[in-house]
Amino acid sequence: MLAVNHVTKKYGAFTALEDIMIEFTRGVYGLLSPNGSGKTTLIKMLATLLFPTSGEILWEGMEIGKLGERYRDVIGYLPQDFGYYKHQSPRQFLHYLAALKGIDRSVASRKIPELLQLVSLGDVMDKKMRKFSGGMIQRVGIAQAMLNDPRILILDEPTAGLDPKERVRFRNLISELSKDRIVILSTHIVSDIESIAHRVIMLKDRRLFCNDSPANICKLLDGKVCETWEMDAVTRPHFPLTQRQEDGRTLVRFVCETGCPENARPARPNLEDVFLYVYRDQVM
Amino acid sequence: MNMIEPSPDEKERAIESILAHGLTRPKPLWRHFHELYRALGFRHLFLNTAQPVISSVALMAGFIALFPLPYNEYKNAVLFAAAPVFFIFVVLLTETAERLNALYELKMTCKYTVRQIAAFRVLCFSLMGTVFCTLAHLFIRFPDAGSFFRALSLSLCALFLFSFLGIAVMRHFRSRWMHWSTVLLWAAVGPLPALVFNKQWEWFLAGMPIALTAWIAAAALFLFLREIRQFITMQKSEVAYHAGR
Repeated sequence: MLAVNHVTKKYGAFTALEDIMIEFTRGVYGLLSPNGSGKTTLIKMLATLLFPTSGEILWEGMEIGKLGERYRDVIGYLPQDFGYYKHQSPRQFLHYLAALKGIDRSVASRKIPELLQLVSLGDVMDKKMRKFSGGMIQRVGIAQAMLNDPRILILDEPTAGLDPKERVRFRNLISELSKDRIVILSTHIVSDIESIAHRVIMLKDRRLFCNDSPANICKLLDGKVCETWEMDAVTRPHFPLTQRQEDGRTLVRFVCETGCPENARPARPNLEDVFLYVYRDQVM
Repeated sequence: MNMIEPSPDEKERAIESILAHGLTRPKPLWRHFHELYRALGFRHLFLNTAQPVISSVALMAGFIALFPLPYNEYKNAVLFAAAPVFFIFVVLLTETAERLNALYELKMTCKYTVRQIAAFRVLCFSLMGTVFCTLAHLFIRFPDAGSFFRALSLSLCALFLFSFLGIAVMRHFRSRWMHWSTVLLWAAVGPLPALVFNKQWEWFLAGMPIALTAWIAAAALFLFLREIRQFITMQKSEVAYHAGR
C-alpha cells in the first residue's frame, strides 16, 4: 500500500498542498482538478522528484525517500512532458531506459518487443521516432513506464495532445494494466477517468476535497442537476454547466441548489457536472 | 495464555539476526561505480558526450595556445589557469545539456539516476583532466625536475580544487545554470590574476614550496572523492519545479 500521510508541500512562502491524506491500493486512481491546483506537485512527490515539506509518503510502511532505489524499482513514471531521443527507435530507446532501470539485458531484449506489441507499436519498433505522432510517442511513454513491471504506475497528464481515437485506445490500455497494480493518473480532462477510475481524487484550495468512487462523487449533486430549453424562464439562483444544440434549440444543463424549477427537468449528475460545479471559481 | 519464553541464547541470536538484516553496510565508492558500469556500460554512461569532450579538449588546447602572456615566461601561471579548463567545460556542457533534456525527470525516477551517472562521469572527466595535465607538462621544457614537479602539483591543485567545487555545486544547487558559477570562479582565480598581476603572480606561484602545493592537491583530491561519495548516495534531491506552471 502507498500512503500519503499529512503531507504539506511549500515552495518558499507559497503552499502548494496542505495536509493531504490518501491511501492507494490496487486499481486506477484519477487525480482530477484544474491546472495549478497541486496535481503535478503531488505526482512529483509520489515519483520522488520532490519531497514533502512536512508529513510523509510511505510504501509498505517505509518512507519512500529512505527506500531510495528500492522504491524507484517499483514505480513506472510517465511525466507530463515526455522527452525522447528522436534519432532512436522505440526499441533502442527502451533498451537505454531498461539499462537505467537496472533491468538485465537479456530480460530487456525479451520484454521490449512484448511491450511494444502491447501498445500497438510492434510494426514500428525499429523505425526512428522522429516521425511519430503524439499518440505514438505517448504509447512509447507507457511502454517505458511498464518496463520494470511496476507495482505503482504514475501518469502525469498522459492524454494531453492525443486525438479522441488515441484517447479511447489509451483508456483501454490503462484499464487493462490496472488489474494488478496501482495506477495513479493525473488529468484535468474528466472523460479520461470517468469510465476507468476506481476512485477519483479531487484537490481544492490546496487540500484534499474528496477521494471516492465516481458514483459516490456524483451523489454530491443528486437532485440538483437540471436541464431546460427555456433558460430565460429560470428565475431561481442557479449555476450553468453545459449547453447542447438539438434541432436548432439550446438545451442548458445547470445546478440549482433548491431543486429543479417548473420549466426544467431533473438530470442525472455526472463527473463533469461535479467538476464544473466544484471548481466554478477556477474553471469558467 | 501459554507462551514459551525464549532462552537468553535465542534472544541474543534473534537480536543479531535483526541487526544483520537491518544494518546494511554502506557500499564503498568503487562498488557503486562498478555496479553502474556493469549495468549501463560505457555506451549508455557516456551517451551524447562525444561532442562536449572534443569541444573541451579543443578549448583547453586553444586556451594554452592563445593565452595573451608570453608562455615561456609564464609557465606556472598558464598551466595553473589551463589545468581545470577541460574538466570545467566538459562538466558544464554535458551536465547542463542533461538538465535541459526533456528526459531529465524520467531519468531521475529510474534505479540508476542522472545524479549517479553524473558522478561517474565527473570522476572519469577528472581522471582525463589529470592525464591531459600530465601530458601538457611532458611537452614543456622545464629547467629542472623541481620546476616540473612544482608546475605539475600546481596544475593538479587547480584541477582537483575545481573538481571538488564542481561536484559541490552540483550537490547543493539544483538550478539548470549552476555550472556557470564554476566557470566564473575559474575566470576569477585562474587567468584573471595572471592578467592583472603579470610577473608578480608568476613569481608567487613559482615560489610556492612543492610540499605545500602537493599537500593542497592531495587534500583537494580527498575532498573531491568525499563529495562524490556524498553526491552519489544522496537520498533526497529535488528537481527544479515551479508550482502552478
